[in-house]
Amino acid sequence: MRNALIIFSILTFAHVQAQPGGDFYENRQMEDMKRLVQFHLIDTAFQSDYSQSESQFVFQFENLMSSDSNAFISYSIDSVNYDGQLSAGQISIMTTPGNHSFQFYLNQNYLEVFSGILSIPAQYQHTYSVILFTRRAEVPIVTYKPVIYLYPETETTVEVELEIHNGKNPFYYPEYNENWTCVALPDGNIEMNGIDYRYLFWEAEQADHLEEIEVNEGFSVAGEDAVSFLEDKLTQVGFTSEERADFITFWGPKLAANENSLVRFEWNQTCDKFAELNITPQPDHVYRFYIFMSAIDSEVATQPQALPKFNREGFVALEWGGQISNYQPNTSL
Amino acid sequence: MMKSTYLLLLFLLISMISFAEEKRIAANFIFEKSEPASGLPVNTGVYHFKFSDLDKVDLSARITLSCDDGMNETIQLKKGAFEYQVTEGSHRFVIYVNDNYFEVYSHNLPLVANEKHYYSIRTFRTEGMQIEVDKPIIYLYPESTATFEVNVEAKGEMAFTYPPYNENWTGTMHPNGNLEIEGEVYKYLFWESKQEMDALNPKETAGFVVTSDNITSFLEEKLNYVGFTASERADFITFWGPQMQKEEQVFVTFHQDLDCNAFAELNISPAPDNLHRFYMSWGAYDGNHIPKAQELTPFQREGFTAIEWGGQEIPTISNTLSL
Repeated sequence: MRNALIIFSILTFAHVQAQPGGDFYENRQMEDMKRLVQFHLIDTAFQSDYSQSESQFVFQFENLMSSDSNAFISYSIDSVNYDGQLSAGQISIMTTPGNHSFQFYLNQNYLEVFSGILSIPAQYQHTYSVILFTRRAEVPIVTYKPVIYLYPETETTVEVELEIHNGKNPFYYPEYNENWTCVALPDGNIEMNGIDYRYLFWEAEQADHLEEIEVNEGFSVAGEDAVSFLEDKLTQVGFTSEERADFITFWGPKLAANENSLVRFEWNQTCDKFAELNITPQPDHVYRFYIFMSAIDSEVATQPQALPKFNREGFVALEWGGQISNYQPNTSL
Repeated sequence: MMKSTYLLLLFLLISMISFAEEKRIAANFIFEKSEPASGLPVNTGVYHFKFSDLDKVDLSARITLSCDDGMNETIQLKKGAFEYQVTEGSHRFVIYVNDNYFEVYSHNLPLVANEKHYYSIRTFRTEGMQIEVDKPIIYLYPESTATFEVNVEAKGEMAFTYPPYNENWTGTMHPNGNLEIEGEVYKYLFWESKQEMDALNPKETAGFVVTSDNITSFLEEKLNYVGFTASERADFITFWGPQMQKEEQVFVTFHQDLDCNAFAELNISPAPDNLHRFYMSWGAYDGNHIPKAQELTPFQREGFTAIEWGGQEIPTISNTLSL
């Protein structure tokens, strides 16, 4: 009969908030194509004891940590906010027949979820499975473009060995086999197998650094200040103009694309976390300088970071890289 | 909701879905409602599909559909909608309208006997997408030290330039490629812009289909062939290689010299003896069409030479149901 349990897997999708106007909306076309389903209708049942003006949604949350199965939850129905509590990872919400949209915020361990428009007939109970994304889970992000420059005092055969930590899908250029063996020249040219390079390059997917640390020092940078901010910091640290241009042409557009970003730098030993870098012969100075940025809704007050100053005497090796982090100071619901 | 929260969400969704096998299946099918339906054969239900955003001229198009990977069927739309009667259970669909839209894929859509289930279908247009022209960089190699002026007129809004661009870039160029601007030395001039473009169609465009593990060797071969220097090649490959390698397979087509005026006009004074522009359009491609191989023209690098390279990732039509 109609109230028999019918196993459905009707899918609706992670709702894309229509944000008319703005770059974001335009950029979306491509992103839209890759949307992932977050709300699955898994069960519908007719409830003869409900009135004609009653319907019920049951949301069953997936990827919930066991400690959160009875957690308090903030949610909204059609933009009106409520508080509730999960029971065994579920919440039941009585409502009226018709179209409704929902938003859920559990706690800082999870991203907020938005339903699309969910439609329900009178006297029905619809059960949705809701896929949650944990913020602190091992969602790998790319550690972008560490490039390594070598500036020996005289023409030197150099062996550069890199041990990437917990990195997936690494990309190297030029090709890396156990190490890069090259002839480095004082002007920064790197000769490998008869070909000249200006830098050695690697990239890999790794854990999101800002999610793993306490971000108590950093910078809040407006998109329009991206270039002057980077020029200022890199000059202060001691990048050459060529290194600075390589850095800024890579990171500048990413920083400029956000209205506001939280920026934090890490340098030297801290960067061993991403990869150990061994250079033979040992340079007089090995400098590593990584940038971490995440888009934020509005400026945040941060303690500015005191940055190092590179000593560029003798044989110097410099590496720069970074990540676009998902780190967020908590907001919204 | 707030933009960055949303971007964040998207980022995670995208990074997760890329691990998923069902990558092509965007959530294009939106369940609207179900209602009892009478007069159907036993154990049979009916889907009612309505396209939500077709062009007017396509509202009565003849579409091609495959249900559960079965034979292609041709169906005529009425006011952008059609019905499909089938036995109860779960069914999945691939639907092709025409080359103005990307093919749409459904998940398994459950169907109950004697019911009509309404879905609206979102399509994605293959034309007029906003695409970012990434990282065109310009190198200048004069025969002797001289002042220069470079003027870029992008077809879209300039999103980013470096060093900062004000009407033009002016400075002093040196034979080793060093560009001096306001006391600073640069190896290249850099700009980015956002423009309207159409999807790539390997059936109509000469190019190459390249699998992930061959990206670096493919790019090295093509760039060597046209005459990039090692350092230009490294700049190109370290920018594009990692992005392309993330896709199992990509379609690649190049644009040379005058064709690049479609992205931006480039004026350099004094006029170089040889100005070579080299752009790459590419997109993830899971079709199996073998495109016509593209012929590339090698650069002449004698005299005062200027090189510009850039590119853009553009969604690529695979539309497997089209004939």
